Amino acid sequence: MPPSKGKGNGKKKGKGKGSSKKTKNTLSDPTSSCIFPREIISNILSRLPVKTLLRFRCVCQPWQKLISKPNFIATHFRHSSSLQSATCTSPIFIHTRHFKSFDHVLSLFDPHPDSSSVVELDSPFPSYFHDMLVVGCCNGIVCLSQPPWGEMITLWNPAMRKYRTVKLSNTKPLMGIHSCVSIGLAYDSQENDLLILSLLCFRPAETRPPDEVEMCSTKSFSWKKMKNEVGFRVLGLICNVIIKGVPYWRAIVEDAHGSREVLVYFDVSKKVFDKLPMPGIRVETEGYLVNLEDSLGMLIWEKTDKNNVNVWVMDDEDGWSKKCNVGITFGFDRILGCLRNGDIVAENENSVLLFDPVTSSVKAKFSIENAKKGSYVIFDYSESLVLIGGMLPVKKEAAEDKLAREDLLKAGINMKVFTTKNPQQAAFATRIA
Amino acid sequence: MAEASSSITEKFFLTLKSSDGDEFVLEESIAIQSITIKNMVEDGCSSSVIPLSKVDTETLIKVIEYMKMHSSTSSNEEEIENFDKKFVSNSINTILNILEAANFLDINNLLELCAEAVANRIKNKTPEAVRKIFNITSDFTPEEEAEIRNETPWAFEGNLDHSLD
Repeated sequence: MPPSKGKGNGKKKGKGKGSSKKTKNTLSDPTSSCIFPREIISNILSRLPVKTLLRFRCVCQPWQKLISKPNFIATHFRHSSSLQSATCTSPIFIHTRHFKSFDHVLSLFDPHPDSSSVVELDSPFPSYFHDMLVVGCCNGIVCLSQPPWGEMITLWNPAMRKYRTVKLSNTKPLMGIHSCVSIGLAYDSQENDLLILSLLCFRPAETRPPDEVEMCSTKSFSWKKMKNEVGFRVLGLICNVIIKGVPYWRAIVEDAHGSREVLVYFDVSKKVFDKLPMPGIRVETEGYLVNLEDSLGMLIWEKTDKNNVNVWVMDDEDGWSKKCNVGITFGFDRILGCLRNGDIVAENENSVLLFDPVTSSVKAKFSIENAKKGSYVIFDYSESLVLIGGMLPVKKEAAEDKLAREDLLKAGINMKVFTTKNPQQAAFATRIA
Repeated sequence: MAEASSSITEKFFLTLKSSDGDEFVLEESIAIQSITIKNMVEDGCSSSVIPLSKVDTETLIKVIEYMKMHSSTSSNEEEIENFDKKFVSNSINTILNILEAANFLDINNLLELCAEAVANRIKNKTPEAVRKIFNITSDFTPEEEAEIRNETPWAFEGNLDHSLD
């Protein structure tokens, strides 16, 4: 009896097993004698940190090949950015400035309950640029830009320690006509293409045209002009938030009803901009756009009230609605934003706190050594194995510069150190001169 | 899902047979957490012994223990959490055996639990230790391996774990 139907079904599964045995001989190298089916190996490895995977590339050739496969990279990112494994929140990417030298410091805070740690990263952004903004993180890639003109745009995978600079558009801003360039980052999952958006903003004048939009694909690294049918003018130098690969900006539109504030976002699949209403913000309140469990949210608080934050969420059908009020008993000096899991991040007297709005308790606390108070900017970050064509290892030069600067600081001299021994840096320097 | 109509009318039992020939009688509603077994039952072979030629006795005992805990209506979330924690403190070889069985029996929760546990256990290990655990012979020449190590030397720095468990 079992051989009839039972085995028929067992065979189906058995065949899966059998074939995986065969695959071992055909697909993977015969000299490697791993006894486990590939799907099991792939399942385990896709849950490991990037650093571990880079180390395990030398275990054997089948592992090395697996770790570089697009499918594996996508599964790995799904695991690393999963909200399910909420017991340990994903790392926080932090931008601060040194309290004395005013240097940019980029760090990662890992809020793991057993071993939380702050690690300073080797930034690929040329240290001789005084200004730098973190545009955002998308698929484990961080975008850095030099404000206000975006003359230097860097894409960087901190976990892989690789970066590349983005070739600039031929459309150059004109002094006296334009006021700034706002940069955004988007991800087209269909095409597996990371996109950079550049919005050229005009100076205030009698008639002030809407922003001129250009988009750069990181597959071809060519810039393309886009339409701005909404007719918006964005308000910031970078997008305010990125949610599931879609960047959002606070912006102004002018129509028959006059001028008003809206939200504009880049519809990645249609490659067009669209607008959304803003929740009503009064003059006495401050608002901060956030990514809440991969939905658009906004933290709104009274400028004078240092204990309460209102959390608003955007629903496709119902629009904006207030989700909850969070009472932060210890008080805060500044709200830095919130993490994807809903934890509110606030700066207070001498550290940064992660506040769990459900249990009303402080989950973790950290501070960056020598950070200028009020300079903290935070981003929700999930590491990935994603690389963009043409990425190079981040050199240690930046770190050397920093050491040199620290020595000077100790000697009581506060100045920026310019290293021009590197031809690439020299080239940048001449380009900006 | 587990509370099939059987619990109301009468309980059905299945017999699972390990690769070592040991037989285990288990309530059908518990056993069908395994999609592989569920398919067999739906194909009408539930009255007979189900041979699991890929699963040895020691592993099958663990898998049954897991299925019982995760189907019982009396066990609460906290109990299950504690059970899972203890479950994955088994030796890495035991977990790998369970992982293979869970893959064969198609028990998704168990597969996830074990894969996550193995990943946690090996994340600080050296490539040499990992090769031993997974019984892998390196197919790189020493030069090739040195080249890979040189691409990201920092990934090999720090306090790495040489142990095999």
